[in-house]
Amino acid sequence: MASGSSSCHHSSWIHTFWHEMTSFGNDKHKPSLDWKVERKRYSLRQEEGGVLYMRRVKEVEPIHEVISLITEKFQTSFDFIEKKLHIDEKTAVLLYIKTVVNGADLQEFIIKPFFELPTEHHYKSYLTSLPQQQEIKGKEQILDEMTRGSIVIIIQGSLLLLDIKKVHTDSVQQVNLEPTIQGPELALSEDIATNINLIRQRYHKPSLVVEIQEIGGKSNQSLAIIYDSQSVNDAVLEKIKNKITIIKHTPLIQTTAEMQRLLNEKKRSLLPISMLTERTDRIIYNIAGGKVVLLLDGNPVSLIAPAVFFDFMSATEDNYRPFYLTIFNKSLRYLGLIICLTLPALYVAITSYNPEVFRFELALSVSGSRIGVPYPSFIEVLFMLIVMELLIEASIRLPKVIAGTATTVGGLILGTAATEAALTSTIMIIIVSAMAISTFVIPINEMGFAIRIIKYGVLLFATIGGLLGLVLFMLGLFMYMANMDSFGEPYFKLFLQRKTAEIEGDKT
Amino acid sequence: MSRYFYYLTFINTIASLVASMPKILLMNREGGAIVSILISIPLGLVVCYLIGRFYQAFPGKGLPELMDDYIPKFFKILFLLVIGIVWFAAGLLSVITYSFFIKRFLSPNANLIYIVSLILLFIYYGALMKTKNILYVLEIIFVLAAPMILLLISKAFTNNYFEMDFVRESIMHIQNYPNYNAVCAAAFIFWGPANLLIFNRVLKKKQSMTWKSICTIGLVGTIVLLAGYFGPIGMLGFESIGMVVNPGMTTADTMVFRYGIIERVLFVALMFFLTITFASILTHWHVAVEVFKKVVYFKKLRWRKHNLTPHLFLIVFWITSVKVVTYLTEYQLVKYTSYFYNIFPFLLSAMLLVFWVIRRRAKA
Repeated sequence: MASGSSSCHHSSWIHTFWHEMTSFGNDKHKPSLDWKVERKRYSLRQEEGGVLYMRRVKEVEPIHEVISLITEKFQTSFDFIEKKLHIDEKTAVLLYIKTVVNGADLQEFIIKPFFELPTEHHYKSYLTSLPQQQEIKGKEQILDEMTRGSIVIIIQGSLLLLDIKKVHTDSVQQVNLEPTIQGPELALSEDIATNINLIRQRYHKPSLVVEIQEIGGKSNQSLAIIYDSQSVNDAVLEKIKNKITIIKHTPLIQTTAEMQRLLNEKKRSLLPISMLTERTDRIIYNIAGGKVVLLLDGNPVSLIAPAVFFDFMSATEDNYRPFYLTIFNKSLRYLGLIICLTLPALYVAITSYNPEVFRFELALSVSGSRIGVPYPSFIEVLFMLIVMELLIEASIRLPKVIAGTATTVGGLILGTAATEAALTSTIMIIIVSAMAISTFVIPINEMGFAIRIIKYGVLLFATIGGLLGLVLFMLGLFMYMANMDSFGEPYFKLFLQRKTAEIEGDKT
Repeated sequence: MSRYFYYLTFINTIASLVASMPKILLMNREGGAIVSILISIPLGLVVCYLIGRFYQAFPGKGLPELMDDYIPKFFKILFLLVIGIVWFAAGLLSVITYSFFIKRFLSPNANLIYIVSLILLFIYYGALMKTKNILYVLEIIFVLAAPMILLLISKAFTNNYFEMDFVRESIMHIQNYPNYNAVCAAAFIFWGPANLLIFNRVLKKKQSMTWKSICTIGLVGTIVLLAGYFGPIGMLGFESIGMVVNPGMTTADTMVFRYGIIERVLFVALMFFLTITFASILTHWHVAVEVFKKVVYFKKLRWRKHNLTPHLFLIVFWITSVKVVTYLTEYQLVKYTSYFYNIFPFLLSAMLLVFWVIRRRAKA
């Protein structure tokens, strides 16, 4: 390339040009004056040479219309720049938005070569051979790309669009939500290109497909649909794409979690049918398993679909550890799930309906510790549960500096004070804290939150029906989950056979 | 066979263990109960095999669809109506039996109507689910409950208080002629596959009924029959068992988990059998609703895109259950259950006849 070798040689005149240009840029009104002249020239050319066509545009759009549209749209923004480059017979006009464009790239790839290459023709063919060049599909697309960091260059009466965006959000973050002891420590970034890069760098297969769509009627965020075309379930993929087309025009979709909610078929739902994750190893594992991954620009979280109930109970570390350790950890998690769901309800059912179920010593000590408690057991449980929920909610919302205080104060309430005031029994304290701990054993957050709510359903039915109500509600929960599906895949189906046999059995 | 076939079969088998089956057998303990059991095993298995064989020829098709093609309409509607009523009755008897258990063993102060309504609240949701999803529910219930029930059965037989002498005494009565009531009650445990008349719709893969599957069903059925008959006799005594109303549950109440969190076996048994019975009611009423839908369907009874006909059936089921549960005594319940078991073979014979006609016409 000419620019690289001759840059030193021409350094002096570049410097003068720079000087000229900066003074030129500072004066805001000047370019628009110049612009009028420029536009006249274009219209003159148009009259001379007939209609000018944009590159690869199907419908004929005179360039000056596009340009006037751009200036009209961006006129009021302070960071919109129209810059004329001119030396000898060479002229080019640059249109861009200063704040989203990478200044170094602009200087290196666009401005410098203009002054180094001998003719407009050379410069144009240089630009069209740059990899950053984008295909022009229409007026709207040009405007849209400009807001993302593309630059419009008018040279020799044609319009070129080049991508030189500057991204500040591409730093890869530490794993925050799903920490593991072994396994990758870095999660995703907030920039979609970096995230795709992260995924591609960990899954080297030509069958990995990345489709880009735009989502959000106002924000026009990029959405990447990533899957392995060899192993993906086509029916599921089609379903997901259909759903995306349905939600496409929602004005604002800011987070992946919001998109997850919108992708849900039912308006009111409790259990998640797709999974949010920030771990790249989980993403790769799921892509290899034939699932579809959605990445939304500006979000360090990806969405995996479809997801069934048991996915939410697995941690990525399950694959890294010895067999028996994994079995132990998994059973611990399910135990936590059961404890969290049933323990408060069990307390109510046992103390109020059937104290004889457990050993009579326990029955005696429970009723002994309830001496002085003025309310029936379910109010006692509700009181403690709600205090605990408040504590959890407060520690999520509070700034980290104050959160410590809140938990200490809350801990005091949940600790001995409530018992000494005879508001709850001592056993209740143990139950609430055991339950609170076991809620956090569930590895995926959304499922943990859902379980947190379902627990109140169990409590309600244990209150009105004792042990019978408890068991029936659990059966009802099984039925509710079995009746759900995640993008056509059964949500609560046990996988007892080998995986291939299961999938075959499902298809037939 | 598909594993879901076994769930359908075994849920029915285990649910019979706590229904009136043991009571009916034990009522005939000085009659021909043992011979009846011995006869019922081959009889039940043959019918089970025939049912399985028939449906394997038509993967993905339920009986109503097959009858559409090969059976005259008038007869079809009549037959389906009878099937629907019988399946509804099967579920009804389970609901009432279990409600009595709950009242007797778990919450004596509760109102029977309240107990029935609470159970039916969940059945109402379940019976309206998709057929395939019901199979998933059956699977999870079976996988959770079956090991526990196996443990309970083995506990009864390995117990120190299990007296072999009582069992020997009962075997002395082997020379008596079999009793029709006892044969029907015992053979019923093998007839879970009859539910395929609806559930075959979702078993779309080609099935094969082999000797292996028959042996498995035979083995499980035999264990359940022996446990249901000899367990109570060994624990409670050959003479005094006659005075017990619910032999299964009372036997469970004679045992303790010495190191368990829950000491009395009764409560564990009650909870796990509740899940199995629930699954059984769910299958029966789902079949009943689906069959009734083929008989009567009000196209205009709609509300927001949902047709309310199945809801109508379930509300009728609900009202009937509440009415019946207040009217029956425990003795009558056993008697009517026995009648049900006695009628069921006739229905099955008619069904086998229909199968035969369908197969002939399908081949032609």
